[in-house]
Amino acid sequence: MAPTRTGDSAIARQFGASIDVAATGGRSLFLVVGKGVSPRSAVASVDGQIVVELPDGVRVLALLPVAMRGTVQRHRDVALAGPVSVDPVRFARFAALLGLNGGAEPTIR
Amino acid sequence: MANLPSVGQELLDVPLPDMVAKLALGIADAQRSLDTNSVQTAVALSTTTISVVPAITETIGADGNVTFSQAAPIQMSLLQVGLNPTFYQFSEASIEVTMDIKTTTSTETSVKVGIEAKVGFSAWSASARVDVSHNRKFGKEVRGTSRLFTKLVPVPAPPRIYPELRVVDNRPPPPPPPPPPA
Repeated sequence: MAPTRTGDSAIARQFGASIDVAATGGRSLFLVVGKGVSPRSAVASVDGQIVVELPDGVRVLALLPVAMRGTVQRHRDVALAGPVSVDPVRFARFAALLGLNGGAEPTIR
Repeated sequence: MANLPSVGQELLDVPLPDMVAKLALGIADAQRSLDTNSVQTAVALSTTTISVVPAITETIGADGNVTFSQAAPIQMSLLQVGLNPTFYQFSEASIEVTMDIKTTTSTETSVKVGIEAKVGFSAWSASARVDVSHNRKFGKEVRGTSRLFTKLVPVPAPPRIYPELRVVDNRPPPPPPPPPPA
């Protein structure tokens, strides 16, 4: 992944310094909330992938490059881009509630 | 060389305490921003609700007709569904300062001697001229680079960010499966 250009300041320019931050790591799951509009374009601008679009249309769960979180957060359409993770215990309960727990006994009665 | 600080002094003049302090303050600012972002994410997860149908009942009539009925949808937040905000923490930070100091001194001395004599009728003259120039040149070149390295790792969310979830399932157990046909 290419380093993200950052740290641009008057002092850095005066000294001809280049400040780069090389953020390693791949993609991570983010909750992206739009400013009244869908954040789809913001996610697409960093080559992200929408996993789930919630019914209100302004919130999505998306896989984003970790280094691009700031870029998404500063996008004009985005109110919040926060990292999220899945709690396996809670999600397993939720899946069981819906009968989505794989080979276990479904809850459809 | 009295006007030039020594190399050791140059190294001592590196504002290392300032750099460490600024790095620490920068990390503190960044950590606060990250925590704020994670808390905002937690709020968004807790206020974003989805409609969940907890159960669907399939009824097979005596005549073989199959009907479905569903329970009333319930609202669940994304936090209840199982999504957690991710918290990050700076686990390591280091400063690396590299200095390249080069000092040069050169001395140049030039002496010019000139003698001139004139002899004429009943008179003579002689002159001697000595020009001495002495130049000392001092040069100094200092190059410095600094490298700040920080390591960011995800950490578990604070244990009390959400209450413990206890499930009490009062639904009657499903009926036993019908016996296989004889």
